[in-house]
Amino acid sequence: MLTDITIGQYFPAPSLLHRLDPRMKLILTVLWIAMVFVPKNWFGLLLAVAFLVLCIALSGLPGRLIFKSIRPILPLILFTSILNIFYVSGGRLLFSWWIFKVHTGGLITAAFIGIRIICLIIGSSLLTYTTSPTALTDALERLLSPLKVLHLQVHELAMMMTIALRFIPTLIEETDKIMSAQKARGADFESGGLMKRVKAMIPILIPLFVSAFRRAYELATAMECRCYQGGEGRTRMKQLHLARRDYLSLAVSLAVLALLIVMNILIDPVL
Amino acid sequence: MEIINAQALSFSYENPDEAPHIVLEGVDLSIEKGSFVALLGANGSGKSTLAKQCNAILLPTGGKLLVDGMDTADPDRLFDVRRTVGLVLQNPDNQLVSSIVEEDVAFGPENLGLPPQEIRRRVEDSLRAVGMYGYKDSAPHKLSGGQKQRVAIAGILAMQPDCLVLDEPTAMLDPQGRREVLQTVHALNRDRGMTVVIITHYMEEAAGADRVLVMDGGKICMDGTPREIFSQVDKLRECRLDVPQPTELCYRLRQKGVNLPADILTAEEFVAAFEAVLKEGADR
Amino acid sequence: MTVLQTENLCYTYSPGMPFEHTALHDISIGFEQGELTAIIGHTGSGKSTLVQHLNGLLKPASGRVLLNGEDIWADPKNIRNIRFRVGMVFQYPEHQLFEDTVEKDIAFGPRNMGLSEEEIDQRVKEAAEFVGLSASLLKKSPFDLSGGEKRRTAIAGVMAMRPEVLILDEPTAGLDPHGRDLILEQIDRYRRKNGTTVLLVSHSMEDVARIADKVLVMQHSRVAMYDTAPRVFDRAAELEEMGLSVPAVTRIFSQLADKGIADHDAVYTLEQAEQAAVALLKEKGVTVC
Repeated sequence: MLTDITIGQYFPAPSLLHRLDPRMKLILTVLWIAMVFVPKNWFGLLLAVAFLVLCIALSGLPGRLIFKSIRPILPLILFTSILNIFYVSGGRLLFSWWIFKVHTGGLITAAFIGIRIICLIIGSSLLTYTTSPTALTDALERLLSPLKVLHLQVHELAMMMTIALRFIPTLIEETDKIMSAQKARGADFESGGLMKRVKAMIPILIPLFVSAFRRAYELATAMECRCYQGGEGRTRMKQLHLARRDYLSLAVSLAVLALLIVMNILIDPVL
Repeated sequence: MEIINAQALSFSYENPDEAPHIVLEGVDLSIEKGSFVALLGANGSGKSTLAKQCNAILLPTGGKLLVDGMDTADPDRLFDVRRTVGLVLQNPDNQLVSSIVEEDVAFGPENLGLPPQEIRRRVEDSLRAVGMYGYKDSAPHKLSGGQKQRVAIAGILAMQPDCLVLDEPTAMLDPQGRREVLQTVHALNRDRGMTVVIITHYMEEAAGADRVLVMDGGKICMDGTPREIFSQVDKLRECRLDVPQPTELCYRLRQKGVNLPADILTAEEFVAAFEAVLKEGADR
Repeated sequence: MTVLQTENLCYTYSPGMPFEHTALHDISIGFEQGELTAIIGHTGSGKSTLVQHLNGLLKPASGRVLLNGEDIWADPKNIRNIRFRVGMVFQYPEHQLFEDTVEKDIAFGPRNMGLSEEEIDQRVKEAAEFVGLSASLLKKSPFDLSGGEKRRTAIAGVMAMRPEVLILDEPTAGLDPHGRDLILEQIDRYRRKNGTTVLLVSHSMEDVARIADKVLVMQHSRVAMYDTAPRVFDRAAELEEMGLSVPAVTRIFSQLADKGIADHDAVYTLEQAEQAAVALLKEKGVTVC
C-alpha cells in the first residue's frame, strides 16, 4: 500500500544523533558523502562502513528500519552491479559464456560500488530518520540565509518545503482513497498498453488536483487567520545553538575523513 | 461589553455578467464578551461567510463590522482584528502548517514576531488548554480528527484572542471527536472567559449554548436562548433545520393536545415532564 | 437467502511494521437478500476495513468472502466483476468526481462494465432520478454543483452499476439536516424498488434507526452485536457502555422503563416513541386527540 513508504520519515528518539543541531547534521551529511567517495581501497571503505555502523548505533533506531530504507533502491544497486560485473574487465577471467565474460575486476568493482551506494542511502536516511522535516527545512533556511543578499527567496522556499512535507502524507492517503473509489467503479490500472494506462490515470489525477487546490485555498485562509505575512518580522520558537557535541561530532568526522585520505595515499587502490 | 458588532452588514459576490450573488443581507448583530453563542443554519444560509467577516478574511460590501471597536475594513488594524478574533475552520487537515504539533501551534505567535521564550510559553499553555500537550512532538497526520481539530484550536489560542469563532469545527468528525472539540470549547469559555461563537448544524451542540442564532437566506431570522429557539419547531423547519429528538417528541404530543412544556431539550427533561403529565392523569 | 457472507475473516494493517495493527479479527457474518444493515462502531473499530473486503478492495489475510456462495477471490482476475456486483460508495464520494459533465461521471462505472451506449444512457437516467438530480443538471460540470448535489452524483455513479449489494460508507457525513434526510430517503426508496441488499456504515444511531432492518455493531476489530434493529436497540445500556450514543427517544423510553412506567420494549424512532407515549397517556386516562 502507498502508505507503507518510509523514505523521508522521521522517527523521534532521545539519541545523540537526534539531539545534534540540524545545521550540523546537514554539514555532516555532506562530509559523509565525501567519506563514501574518497576511499579507493578496502581498508578505507571498511573504516567508512565502521563509522556508519557507529552512527547507526548512536541513532538508537532499530536495524529493521535501516534495511527498509535500502529496499526501494535495491533494483538500482542490482542493475549497476550487473553492469559492472559484465562490463568491467581486468583481473582474472573467472567465467565465460557466449558474449558474457566475468572478471575478478568486475566483481570487485560491483561490490565496491554497491557498498558505496548502500552507505550513501543509509547515511542520508539517518539524516531524515533522526531530524524532523521542519528542523531540516529550518536548518536549510538558516544555512542558506546568507544567499538573501543574492535576492534568493530563502524564507519562501523553506515555507514551501514545510508545507510540502506536511501535506505529502495527506495527499498519499488521499490518492489511496481516490484509487479505491475509482477501482470500486471498475477503473482498471493494471492492464492494457501504455496509452491505456496513462488514460486510466485521469480519474485519479483530476480529483487529486481538485482536492490539492481546495486544500491549498483553505490552507491559505488558515495561514491568513494566523497573521502570516511572509518572513518579514517573523521570529522562531526553536532557537538553534551549536553545543559541544556538535563541534565534537564535526571534529570526529573530519578526523575520519583525513584518515581516509591518508589511507588512500598509503594503500594501493583496488579499482 | 460587546466584542463583535455588525451594523447592517451585507456581503455579495460581484459577477460581471449576472446579478450579484447576495450572501449576507443587512445583518445586525452584537455579541457580548464572554458569551457562548451557537450559530445555526442550513448550507448556503451565509453562516460561514459571516464567520469569515469576523476576522477580516472577507470584508463587508455594505454596512460595517466592528471587532472590539475596530472596523474590520481598516487595513491598519487588520492584524489587531485577527489577534482579537481567532477563526477555526472546518477541515482540521487543511489548517495545520507544520509536520510537528508544537511547531504548528507556534506558527501564529511566530508570525506576530514574539520573543522565543514567550512563544514557547504560549505554545505549552495552549496545548495544555486543549489537552494535547502529550502530543506536542507528534505528526498531525497520525492524530485523529478530533485531536487535529484541538491542535488547530491551540494554534489560534496561542495568539491569545479574546474571541474564538469556529466554522463547523465538528462537521467532519466522528461522535468521539465532536465530543472532544465541544468539551474543549466549553472549557475555554468557562475557565478562561473566552467568547465562543460556534457554527454547527448539530442541534445537540447548540443546546449547550447561552444564545442561539439561526440564519437563513443571508439574514439572522431567530435569536434567543436554546429553549426559546427550539420550542419554535415550525419556524426551524422553515429554515431547513431540525430540533433535538426530545423536543420534537414533545412537539408532536403537544399537537395532540397533551399538556407538555414546549421548551424541553433533553431526554431527562422529557421524562420528568412526561411523568408529571401521567401523574396528573392518574389523579384525575 | 444469504447474499454476502464472510468466513473467519482476518486482516492486519502493515504486518511486520512498527505500526502494525489488527483491523479484523475472525469475522463470520452473513447479509440477507434485500435487507438494509447498518454497521456501527467507533473510528478504528474495523467497520471500514470490513466493508472494503466485501467488494474485494482489500484481500483477506485469512478467511473468505462469499458472494452467493462463491469465494470472490476464487479467480483473482475476476475481482473487477465482483466490484460491479458489490457497489461501494466511499466516505465523501464527491471527492472522486472527475468527468466534465455529471452525466459522464455517472456513466463511468457502467462504461467500465462494457455495456452498450443505450444501456448506459438508460442507467444514467434511472440513477440520476433515484438521487433526485434533474435532467438539466446532467449536462453541467460536476464541479459547479452544490455539496449535496455532488454527493448525490457520486452515489448515482455507483447505483448506475446496478449492484446486487450496495455499500455506503457514511453517506451523510458533513451534510446539513435537510441534505441528510434527502439522501437517507433516497437510499431507502432505491432498495425498496430494486430489492438491493444495502449496507450502511454510519456514526449516527438516529439516522440508522429510521431505515435499518438489522444493525451490526463492531468493536475492537470484532463483531460486538449483530441482530435485528429492535433487538440491538433493546440493549441500549450496553451500547452506551461502548460509548455509542443511542437515539434520544430510546434513552427516554429506557428511563421510563426503569421507573416502571413503560415496558422494556425498544423504542428507537420518533414514530414509535409517539405511539408508545400516546398509549401510555391513554392508559392513565389523559385525553389525547
